[in-house]
Amino acid sequence: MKQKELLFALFVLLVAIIYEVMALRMPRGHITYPGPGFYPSLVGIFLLFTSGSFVLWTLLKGGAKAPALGSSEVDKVDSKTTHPGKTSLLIALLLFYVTTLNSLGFLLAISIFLILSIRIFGYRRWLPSLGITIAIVAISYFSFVVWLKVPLPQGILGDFVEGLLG
Amino acid sequence: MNAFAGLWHGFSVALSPLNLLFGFLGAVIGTVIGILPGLGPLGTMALLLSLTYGFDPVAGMILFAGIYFGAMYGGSTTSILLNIPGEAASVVTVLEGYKMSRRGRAGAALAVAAVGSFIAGSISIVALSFLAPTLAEAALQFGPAEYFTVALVGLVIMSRLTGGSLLKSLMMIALGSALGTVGMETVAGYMRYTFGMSILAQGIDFLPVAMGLFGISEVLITLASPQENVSLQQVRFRELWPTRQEWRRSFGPMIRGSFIGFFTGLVPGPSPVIATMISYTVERKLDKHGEFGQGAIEGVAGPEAANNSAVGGAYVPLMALGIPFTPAMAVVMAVLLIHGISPGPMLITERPDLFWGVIASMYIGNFMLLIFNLPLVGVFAKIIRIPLYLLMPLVLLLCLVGVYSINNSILDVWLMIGFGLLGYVMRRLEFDVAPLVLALVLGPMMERSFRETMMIGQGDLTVFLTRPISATLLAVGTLVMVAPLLKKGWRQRPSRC
Repeated sequence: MKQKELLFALFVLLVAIIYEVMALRMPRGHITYPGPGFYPSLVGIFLLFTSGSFVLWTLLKGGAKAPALGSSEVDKVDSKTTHPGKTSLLIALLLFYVTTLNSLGFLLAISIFLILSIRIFGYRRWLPSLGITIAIVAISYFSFVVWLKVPLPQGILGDFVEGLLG
Repeated sequence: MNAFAGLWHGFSVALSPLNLLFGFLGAVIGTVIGILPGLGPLGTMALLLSLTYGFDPVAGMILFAGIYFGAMYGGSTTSILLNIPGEAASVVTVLEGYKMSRRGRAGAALAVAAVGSFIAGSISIVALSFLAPTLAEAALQFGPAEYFTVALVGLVIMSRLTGGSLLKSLMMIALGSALGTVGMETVAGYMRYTFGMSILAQGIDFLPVAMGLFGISEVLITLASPQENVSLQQVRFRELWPTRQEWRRSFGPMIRGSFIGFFTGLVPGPSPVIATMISYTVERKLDKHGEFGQGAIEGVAGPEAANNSAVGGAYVPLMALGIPFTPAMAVVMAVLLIHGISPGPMLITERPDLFWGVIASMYIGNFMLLIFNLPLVGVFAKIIRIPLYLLMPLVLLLCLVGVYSINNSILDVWLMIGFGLLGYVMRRLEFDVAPLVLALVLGPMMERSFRETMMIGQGDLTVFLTRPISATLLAVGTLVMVAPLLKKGWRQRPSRC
């Protein structure tokens, strides 16, 4: 845990350095008339201070005691409490949805997303999953696109759906 | 318009069929999400925000008030019957409520929780009706220095109250403030941190961030956690009536919890959660029966009253100052902003229908919730049996469609997923994400106020100390930061003997 915290804090520290360098390149004006870079440079210092302090604190207080990543102690705890495979699959599915939304269109992208996510959450029968997916997609399409007029991407099924709905 | 005339006007607004329907829907949705572990009132309001585009803002506000209050009622049901808190503000109820349930007093615990919630909700709404207009009148004297200090001290207090590491909370506040500076700067039109992407010129909307950090990350955490089968205890209607002694023992905690909750609600941070903890501690200290830990009814009555009352308190800073002190209130503020209404001291005079209509709807909603949560408790408790493979994909669908509909932008979907992953990592590492969201919301206002203060005061930083309200607030903030350190130092001092 401590080692993961340290890695995360180092990541934030890196972000803080980039953020502050960019802030210092902006016109900062003067304290009587602060420019666009004045406030961000203060925020950057605060971010540097907090993330830097956290890195130091983790190194001094708990870093030495933390078990190494991949060691049996860490793996034993994680394997009992998490399903990393399923989580990774769901993340991949979310990324698939967002990358294909424009090309496939909402109807197709969300249908694929739903049927696979139902499976990831543990329901294994394809036919009922398909039925549930069709019902949810139909309700959401009529709620958001037809009723609330949200212009969700139509994609490759655009003409077909428009023809179907008249 | 005085408070009584305002309330009279408010009831005429809230009792219109459409607003009654929205109050009812909010109460039902709130109760359901309060019962279901995982998705809390904040996530639900963020998901439903896109739906409020098509509604009147009064109806949207009434819907959200119903959800927020309803979640507090619903959370107790599964805490008492199943040992599973539906949401964070009901965690404390598990301690005594489930023990009562094991002793065959589940009905009494549910009834006391519902009645306590009703009494506390009513007290907090009355207090809100009278305190918010007074505070709004005082806020008309606020200048940019005061607004900057209120937001700064708010964030400082929140970092102290979240319960986790102070350094982690401060880091989250810094990250949120940094995100708040992305986009076109308002005075000179300078592009900051946009990396040449014009789509980022408007800045990072807090909704994709909140939906990612609270909604998507919650689904990922649920998926990663082991699932347990639950056995539901049946409660018959006739078993709901507590004994005379149980009523007598509950009344004091209910009243104390109501006041603890309301005043905690005024303070930034996860007020309903903190209120329940304070109330539980107070009741435990006042305990005369020695039943705490074995199912003390005071441990249900006090915290359940406190979490409901905190909701009313949390509305005060938003309605009177236009400053949201919790992420949930930031979503409520978004309902107003998307309809072009700026919350703040002028809201009560400019939109009395909205202000008083929402308050009146809270009275009505509170009554509706009492009715739902007593006779229908068994029905609502069965909701927990909805399988995750249905519930979680549905939540994801609402997130994905809801976030797109805010600006019809795929960037928002990317942002939500990105912050969902970030939230998943941060929550697993025990970072509280609420300070990040609040800092993102308050950041632009803080920068604007700071720059205005510096321009008006010719760069004189002592202006924050010479203006009485600002100086008082800074003193409070400093005390909140320093007091725990002094207390620790005092405890660790070497003894003289």
